[in-house]
Amino acid sequence: MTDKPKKALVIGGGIAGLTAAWELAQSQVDVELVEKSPFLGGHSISYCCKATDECVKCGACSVDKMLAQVVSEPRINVTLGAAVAKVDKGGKFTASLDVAPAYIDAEKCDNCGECFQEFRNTGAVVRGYSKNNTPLYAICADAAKDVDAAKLAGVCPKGAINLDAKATKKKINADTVVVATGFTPFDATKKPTYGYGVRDNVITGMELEALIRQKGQVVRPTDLNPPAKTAFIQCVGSRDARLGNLWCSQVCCAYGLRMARKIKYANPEAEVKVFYMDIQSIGKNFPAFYTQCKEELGFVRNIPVDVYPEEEGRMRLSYADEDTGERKDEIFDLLVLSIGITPGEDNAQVAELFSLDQDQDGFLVEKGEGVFLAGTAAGPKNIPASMAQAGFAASEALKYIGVTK
Amino acid sequence: MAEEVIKLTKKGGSTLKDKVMEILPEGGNLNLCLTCGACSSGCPATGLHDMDPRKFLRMAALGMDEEIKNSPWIWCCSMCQRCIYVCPMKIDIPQLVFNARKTVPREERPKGILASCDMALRSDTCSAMGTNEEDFQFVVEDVLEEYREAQPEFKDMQAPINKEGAYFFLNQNSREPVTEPDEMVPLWKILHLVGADWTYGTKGWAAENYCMFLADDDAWKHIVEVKAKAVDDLGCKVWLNTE
Repeated sequence: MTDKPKKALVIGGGIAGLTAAWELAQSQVDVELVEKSPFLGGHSISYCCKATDECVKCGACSVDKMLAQVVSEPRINVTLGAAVAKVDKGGKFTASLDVAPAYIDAEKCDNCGECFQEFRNTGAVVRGYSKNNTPLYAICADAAKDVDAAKLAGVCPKGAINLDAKATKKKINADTVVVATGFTPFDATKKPTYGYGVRDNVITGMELEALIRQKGQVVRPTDLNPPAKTAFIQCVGSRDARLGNLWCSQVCCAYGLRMARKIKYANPEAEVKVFYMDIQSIGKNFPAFYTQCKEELGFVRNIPVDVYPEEEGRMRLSYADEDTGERKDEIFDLLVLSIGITPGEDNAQVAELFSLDQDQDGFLVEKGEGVFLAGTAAGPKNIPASMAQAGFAASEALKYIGVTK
Repeated sequence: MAEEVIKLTKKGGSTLKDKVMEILPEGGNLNLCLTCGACSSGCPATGLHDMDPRKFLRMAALGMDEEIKNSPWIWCCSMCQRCIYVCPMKIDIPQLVFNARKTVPREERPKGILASCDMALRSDTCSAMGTNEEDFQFVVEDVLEEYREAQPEFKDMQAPINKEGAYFFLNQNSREPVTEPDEMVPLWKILHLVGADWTYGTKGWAAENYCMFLADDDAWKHIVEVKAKAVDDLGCKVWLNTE
């Protein structure tokens, strides 16, 4: 074929967007990948490996692998810090982007990290999770206002920091669009009796992922010691009519139990209890894994409501004990809330821009016309399911633009 | 956890749960339980008489109406409604408890609640302890005088009775004037300090309504009507019931 290559626009650089971009590029399609944050990888790049003495197939490592493939693929052009302002469709798609200032010049930066070492405590410089991100660091404009600008600009040995960089605009033409804008993690402050945001040792499952990824083990936020007793509360923000979140988020049982077991594996003396209503043991390996968990972890089929503060940052949970039928109080060092997946907070805007529908829960629905959905933008999914579905979205996009039949 | 297999005795037909669903908006969501147990972890009556709200709802779902009727637990519920507040599916367990009480013949309902309701029905004070108008007025005036003398900063404090046109009509639980008269004073002080225009009434003064807890709708309604009339008769704008 001598035709000019077709071009695809992929919105969102999380695991679904990365996978869709990669799959499209493998079929000789040029890809413009647009990500609103300064880093590729989305939420899932912050997730930890949950292996004990064996891999438990959580899929977290596949995010970094896919990210590495994407950034080294010449057919994929990545634009970071970019938001879609407008989309015109007249046969082809034309997207107008607002691109945030590139305070760190990607050409000059060699990821040495001196800026981060110097300014990490101010929040002015943030670091991504994957070393395959270039730059691995970004300047947070709001926090940078509070630091000495000359000192910040001068900290870089390569002179890559330019605080005078301006926002730019960019236009992208494409034959098809894959929307992979992902999800918004449930805001645990909406379940106020758990004390999230009030008590330091109440954290979300997502925060535990990042904690393990950064520190290599589970530690309490307040004293950085491994917790002797940890509680997981499942279904926080899912299957809850009061919140309007009727769906099962499909990921929390798996990540909760995998991290619970990782705590136990690292420290066999540690006690871990999982408070649940029922375990959604879906997937090929999960029922066998759950059976192992039952031998090592405590399971309480009761969702606690009240969390009371105790000394030294501990928390007391009240629950109905199934064996005795009585109310029981138990003290824990760390409380992990297994928060669920909720529709992307920008979904209404995304739907408007790309002529998509939203379902009754707020997730996105395809309307045809060359715009395809990948990953959790369309509903809760784990990493492998997001990748599989992104591959399907890419194959549909390829059919639409006539590359395949 | 149950040690023995439970034998279900219900042989078809409409159950208590079915009947209650017919009278509640959205059927009280009584069929939506995910058995998460949030109700039971927050309930002050969990564990009493080997029962908790989750178990109670499950028994109702299984049509175990006889067992529910015979359980003293349905009378332990304080109707605080915490279970429905914490329930992710907004299941109206309190209404199910209330209607379960109605399945017990009136004369077989717990003596304490029954006698308190009957006592309240005897006079226009609505006092479940049978305290009459004169005794209530005497205690209030006596306690007021004592505090005005002992605490000069409250020498102008009032505890009006039958003050026509007052903005607030305040009820008082019978227990305080009868057994803990000093307990009435903190609220008087607050009302005094904020400059509230309020009054007690010799009629309809008692705040408690045991007829509601007895699940006797007619008697409950009667008690409310007597108190409401007392508020209207004095021309008060707001009825403050502290129960």
